[in-house]
Amino acid sequence: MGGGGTGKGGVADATLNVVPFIDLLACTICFLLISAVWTQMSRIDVDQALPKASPKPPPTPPKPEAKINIMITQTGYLVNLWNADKIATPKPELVTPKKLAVKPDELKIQRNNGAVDKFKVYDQDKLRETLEGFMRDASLDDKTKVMVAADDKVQYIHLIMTLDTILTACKDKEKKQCLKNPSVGDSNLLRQEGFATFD
Amino acid sequence: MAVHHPGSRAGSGVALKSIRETIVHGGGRSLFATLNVVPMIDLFTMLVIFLIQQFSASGELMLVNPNVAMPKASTMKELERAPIVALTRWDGQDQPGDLLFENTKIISQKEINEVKYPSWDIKPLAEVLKKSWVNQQKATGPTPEKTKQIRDNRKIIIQADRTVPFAVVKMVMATCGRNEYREPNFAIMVGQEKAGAAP
Repeated sequence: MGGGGTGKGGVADATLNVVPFIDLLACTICFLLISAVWTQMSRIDVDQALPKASPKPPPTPPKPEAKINIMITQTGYLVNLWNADKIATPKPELVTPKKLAVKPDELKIQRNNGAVDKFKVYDQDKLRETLEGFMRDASLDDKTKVMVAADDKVQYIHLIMTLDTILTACKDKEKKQCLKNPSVGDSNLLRQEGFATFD
Repeated sequence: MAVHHPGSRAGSGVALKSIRETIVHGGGRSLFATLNVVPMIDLFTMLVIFLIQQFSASGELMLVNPNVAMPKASTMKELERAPIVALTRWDGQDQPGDLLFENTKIISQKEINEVKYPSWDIKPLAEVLKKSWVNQQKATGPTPEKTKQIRDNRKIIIQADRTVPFAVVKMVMATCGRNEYREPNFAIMVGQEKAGAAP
């Protein structure tokens, strides 16, 4: 590549050799495309509320406070507000478990190898509405604990979808006060807390 | 050897530049066609910037077993490095899947039940968790604070297939809790479950 002369003076429009630059860009693109992770992974943090998980019981029993209990059964959700009398505006009727039945639909999800998994469809919208209703009716804040337990045969996908619904349940439309303290526990604990007759 | 004046060249006496060019190049097209590479460089640069923005190292934290199709959820929390317990696809009691620790098979999920482990402490998993904890206590970071952070980290990533029953998940959680790893993180894919979609 040359340059145009202007008579006696120096070169006026010197050209830059862009070939190495193009090579570098092409290599960078190849590297980034190969190393790119197209599936984004995330995590859901939970607390453990499993009675057999800790070898020693806590020295002092925890202070009784209002908490939301969710039981995932084979037929749907059971939701109640435990220790409802401990809140400023007690509403004992909230302690009675509310049943949210599964939908008649079936969720079919295809795997990478072509196999199809079939799942029941739990009513996530109703669960979110119920949780938001609890937060408003009982004036609960975002620090309210939510305990989730499931039947032994309930599949993991339903646990995750339930936790996801809990984390997106908010008291206000601006989504400033959302539940953020879910814990996963055992159904036997919930049997003691209002779900004695669920099965 | 003396330097001579070059004298007149072919076409140098012609006044018009275009005619001179015709005479010099024989009236044909130029031998060196120039390609405008500026749009290409612009495109490459935009691609590189886009790919660098998309680049995420968090996906490299986890080796995803091909038999694990993690459920999807909308929660966006970045994964942190922690030991990984994986539970592969549960396809009924005949093909119950495996329990893996750092991608190494520990036991079959068929063996994980309350009859065999009534205290919910899965012995083979407990052994590898104890070893992992001992190794973690020997690990060092670049600074004393970082070392303390590494050694005190009680997080464990539970990477389960969406078909795994809750009975297996709760026993794995309980075993991890008994063996120092008390903060379970459920690994998920970012997104929303849709019928027919492959993971």
